[in-house]
Amino acid sequence: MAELNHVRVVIADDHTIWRSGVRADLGENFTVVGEAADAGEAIAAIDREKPDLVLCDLHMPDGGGLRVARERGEAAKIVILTVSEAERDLLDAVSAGAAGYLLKSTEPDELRISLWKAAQGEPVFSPSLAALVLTEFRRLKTSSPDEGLSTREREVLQHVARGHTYKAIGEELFISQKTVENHVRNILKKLHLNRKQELIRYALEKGIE
Amino acid sequence: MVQPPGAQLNTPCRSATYAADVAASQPSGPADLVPLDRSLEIGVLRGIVAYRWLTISWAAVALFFQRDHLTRTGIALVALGVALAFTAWSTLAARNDAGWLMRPAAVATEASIGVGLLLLDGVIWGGIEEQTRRQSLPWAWPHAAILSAAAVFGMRPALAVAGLLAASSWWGELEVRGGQDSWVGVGSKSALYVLAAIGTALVMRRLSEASTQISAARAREEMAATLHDGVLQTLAVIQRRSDDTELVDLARRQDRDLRAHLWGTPEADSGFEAAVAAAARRVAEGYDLAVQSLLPEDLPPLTADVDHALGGAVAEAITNAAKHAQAGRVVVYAEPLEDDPDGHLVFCSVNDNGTGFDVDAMSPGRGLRHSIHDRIEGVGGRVELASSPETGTEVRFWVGGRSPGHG
Repeated sequence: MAELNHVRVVIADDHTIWRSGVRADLGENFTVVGEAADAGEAIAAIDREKPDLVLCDLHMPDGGGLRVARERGEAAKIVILTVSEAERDLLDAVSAGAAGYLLKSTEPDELRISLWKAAQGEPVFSPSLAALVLTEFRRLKTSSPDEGLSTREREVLQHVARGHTYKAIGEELFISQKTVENHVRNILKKLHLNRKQELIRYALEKGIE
Repeated sequence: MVQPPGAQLNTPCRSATYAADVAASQPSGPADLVPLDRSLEIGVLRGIVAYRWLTISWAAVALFFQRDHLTRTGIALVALGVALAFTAWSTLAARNDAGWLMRPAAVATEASIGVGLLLLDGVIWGGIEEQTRRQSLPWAWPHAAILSAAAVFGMRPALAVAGLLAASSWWGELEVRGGQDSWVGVGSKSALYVLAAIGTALVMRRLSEASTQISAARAREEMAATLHDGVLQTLAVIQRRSDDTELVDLARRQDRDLRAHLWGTPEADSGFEAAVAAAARRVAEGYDLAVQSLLPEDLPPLTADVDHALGGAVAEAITNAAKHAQAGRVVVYAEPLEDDPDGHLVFCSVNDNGTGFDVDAMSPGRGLRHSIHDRIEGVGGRVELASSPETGTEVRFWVGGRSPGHG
């Protein structure tokens, strides 16, 4: 990742007042290069501006944040910013390709830090998301080592769930912060894969082609 | 938890709100004139239209094959024509404005046609000498009148129609046709009419109960979605943009209550989870501290005393973080242990991002030692404490699985 003095951000939310609020909260290290009120506008803004980061509401007209993540998750880092604490929404966002999932109640300081990290390629992973993923993998209990989590990955996830920063986790496990990030990225990939397989299995069981 | 593919469709909340908007902006339209709560009846009435076509086709086929045995073919054709006309009208009505089918006049007309057919039945066949009974043409078609009456008006009107039809078929069969041997046939026909009335009315009653429940559930869901998108957003904006601490506090409390109402909180449970929820609530009232509680559903059950001790210790740790560490957020995390060397069943941690303190310098008299260590060690658990100014404080617990007092 290139050195970032200014993170170029697109804010997508169907509430104007929320967009201006976030714009004010982001501060001087971020430049808002585009705003969008629905998924279609967000995708157009991403194609036009090529932002470093997209802050995207989950429930918006025209497909919502999930559509933006699915269609432009590769092109830009999409961070979902929502009021929804529903487990389904969290997991769906990750599966759709979102780089992060934050609650709108996140304190401005924490929001800025998380977004800065997300812009630099760090997977933004909240403790609640980590706890959900741990529970999900405990339930799956796959015997195949490819599908389940490695011991190290589980350790990393447990630390995230307990509220530790990547830096603190690295120090505790005697690995670099970069390694911690890589673990988290792999975990997300496995989660995505598992979920896909799970959906396919479900579809086959129900006889849906 | 893995969701079925339907879970991918995350937008129904949103689109539901939009559908409502669209409907509100176009108040006039023929489709809107039919009240929503009649949609069940309309669906059933459309099904009855199909039934009419099946029975009239059958009557036509029977008429064709038995044309040589009829004494009055012309009357049979006229009768069939009248029934066909009504069937065709009901089809058009169902397609264009199903409200027509629900008028008493429509049901009465159909019942009258049914009565006429049954009365004529004897005339059409009258005078045949063979012992074998012939297929009676309108036998099944008049059922549709009973079904419609049951679907729209309920059990009593349906029974009235059934009684009328049964009486007509008795008269048609016995008086005009003079069939001495048809008691059983006419009797079972009448029984079927009555059964159709009762059966359909009962099924309709069940269906409308179910449909009421479904629409109530849908209304609740839509309300939750609206609150979710509107009120929670507004509360979030207030919390973020206002400098008025009292207002922010109010918004935060409302936010929490609304969430609890919409998605439920684990506070109904007893023991450990209830204690965590109660402590979180208490702290949120008095301090500027967000408590995030991450307790999975698959925690193994703990004995009552362990539950109680852990709950108290966690609550104490949260209070400490709020009072002494000036923390902004606390994460309470728990998970089941599978092969713990000490045989403990549950791991739990309380982590804050506060100022931390020197663990070694902590005097034994401090509340932490007394209230946390004593509680947990009293039920055979283990406590660890880690604290630094950079990472804040974390209290870790290992509990359950061993008899109290053993270590």
